[in-house]
Amino acid sequence: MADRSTDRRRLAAAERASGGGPGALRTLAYPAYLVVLLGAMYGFSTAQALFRTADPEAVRGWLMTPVALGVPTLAAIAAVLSAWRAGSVRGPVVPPLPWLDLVVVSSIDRVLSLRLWWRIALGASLIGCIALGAMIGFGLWYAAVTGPLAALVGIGVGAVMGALIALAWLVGQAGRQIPTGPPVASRLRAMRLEDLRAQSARSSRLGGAMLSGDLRAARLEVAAPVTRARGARLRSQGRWRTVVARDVLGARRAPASPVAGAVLLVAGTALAAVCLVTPALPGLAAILAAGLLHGGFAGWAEGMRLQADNSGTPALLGLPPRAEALAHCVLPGAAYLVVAAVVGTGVALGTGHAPGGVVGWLALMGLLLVGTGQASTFRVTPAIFVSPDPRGRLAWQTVPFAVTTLAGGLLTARIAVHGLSGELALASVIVVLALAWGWHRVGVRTDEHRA
Amino acid sequence: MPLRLAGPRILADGVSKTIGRVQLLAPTDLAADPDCAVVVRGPNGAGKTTLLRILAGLTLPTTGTVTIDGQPADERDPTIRERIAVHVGAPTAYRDLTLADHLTLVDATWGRDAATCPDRVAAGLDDLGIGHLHDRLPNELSSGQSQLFRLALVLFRPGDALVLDEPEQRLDPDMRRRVTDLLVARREAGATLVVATHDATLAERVGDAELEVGRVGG
Repeated sequence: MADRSTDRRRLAAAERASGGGPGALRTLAYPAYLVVLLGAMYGFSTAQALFRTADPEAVRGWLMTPVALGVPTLAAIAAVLSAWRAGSVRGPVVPPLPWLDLVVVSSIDRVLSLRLWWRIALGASLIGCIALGAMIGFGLWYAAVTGPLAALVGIGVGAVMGALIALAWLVGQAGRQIPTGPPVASRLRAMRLEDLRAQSARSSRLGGAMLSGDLRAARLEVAAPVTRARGARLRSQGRWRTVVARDVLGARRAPASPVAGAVLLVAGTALAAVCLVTPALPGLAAILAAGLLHGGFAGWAEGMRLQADNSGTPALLGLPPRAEALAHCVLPGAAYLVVAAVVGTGVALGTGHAPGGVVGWLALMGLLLVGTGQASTFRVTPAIFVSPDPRGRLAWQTVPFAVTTLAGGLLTARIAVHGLSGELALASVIVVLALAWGWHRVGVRTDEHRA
Repeated sequence: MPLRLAGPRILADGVSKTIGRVQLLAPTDLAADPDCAVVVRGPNGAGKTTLLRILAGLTLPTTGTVTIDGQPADERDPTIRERIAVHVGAPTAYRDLTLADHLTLVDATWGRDAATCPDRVAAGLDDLGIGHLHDRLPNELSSGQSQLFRLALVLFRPGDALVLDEPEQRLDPDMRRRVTDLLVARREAGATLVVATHDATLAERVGDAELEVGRVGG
């Protein structure tokens, strides 16, 4: 067996031959520079503006409550768990296939042959988390909510979180085996070539699917195998109800997306309701709430996505495509309405307000989500003025999300100030336009293949 | 004894397809009558699949017309959709539904009797020899089983005309015979069939007429 110095020489030769190696690590420098620059320009400005406009005194008081400790702690736990979960699909150590087949397969110690990708992932995680912590810390300090210590604490907590997230990501990739020895080196050594190849190939396919705008292929790459509710059967219950029952059964068999959707819906409706009863809150909070609601609605709209994925294939179902699209709105719409009614009423009553206006606007918002949800799901070929490169396509696909966040968020902010009755006409027009847009896209997507 | 079907007359007059400067299908005529099966033959790239998509009203021809009992072939028309069952490429499939669930969904959306649905679903899968796979998901099938599942979906939905693209793909000899028997039975019941195939035995047993689609220039 070769000793470590021999391994290093062999690895250096392989890196020279492949054009990779330590030079590749330097590729992190430019993204890091961009993160710092953008964080300083936009992130810091936004954070301090948010704290400043949200009444520094009130924020200072809130920071002393247990909730102020609990919410970030829960967010940190969720981030670590998400990283761990993501590791089984796409971990931090994913070299390209030629490197795996020509170098990692050799007798060189895998700690050496894989460390570059681990260092890149660790570096990216540290940079991202430190930048986020610094933005919040400096924002609090600059807005005179806290002293300079907050900036140091933000950077420190960011660094710890960056390391924890990267480590959880690696542990998720390494699987259930618990190797002995140093946590990183032992896991790098224990990685199996077959698993690394599978993740590398999947990563390439996933990247290709994202760049080409084929979100169906991307979803299939990351989809978990269906193991739940396998004994349940779809029953014939009439033309419409069976399609709705299909969506319910799908949600039972693949619950991750509806559960994530429910969490986003609860957070989004709670934030939107708080915005409605607190006109002093900045409009950014209402925009954030609308964004959460868009994601939450999408989490329940798998049936809608499957219909859109299948458009262009020969007809098998007896329902016309638009009727089927309408049936697929029932489950996400019902989930949203239930959450909106419960959370909206709770927030309104809890803050001493009548729930009518809050729940009324949240219900209208549900119709807006149906329209933009359909527009988002039934993706159509980009308009002719959109750049055909991946960035242009990606921007085109995010238009429905932008419409939800801007229209939904700004309407929420206006209704908080003027009341629902004062903005009902404008809100109704926007909701009808959104519904018509979604309806139009269902038709366009369905017929797009005919050319 | 199967129900008597009233297959339509499918008529293609000078249909061709060109995208940009590439001709996918040279001008082609075809006539398929009830109780009749037209077998479409031709080398790879000749335009067989394109012809079938045009016949089924899925793709607009660049030139020519297709009518189904005198109506323009357009799958947006519900009456056309109801009459023509098409197997061209991968059909609608849901990754979270089992095979039996798929047939149940198809059955329900065509408004069939809910009480007898399970019997029809079981028979639909058994016809293709995949009844024992009823609780599998589509991604848990072999490539041959997937092909049988796709054919089961197409043969299960209503339709007195069948447009099939290489139904024999990835099937072993026994399964090819089974599929051939089903197609012969469907033709004898009165359906109109247009089948593209590379299988000489299937072509001989099913086909009443043969259309050779020519090789086209790129």
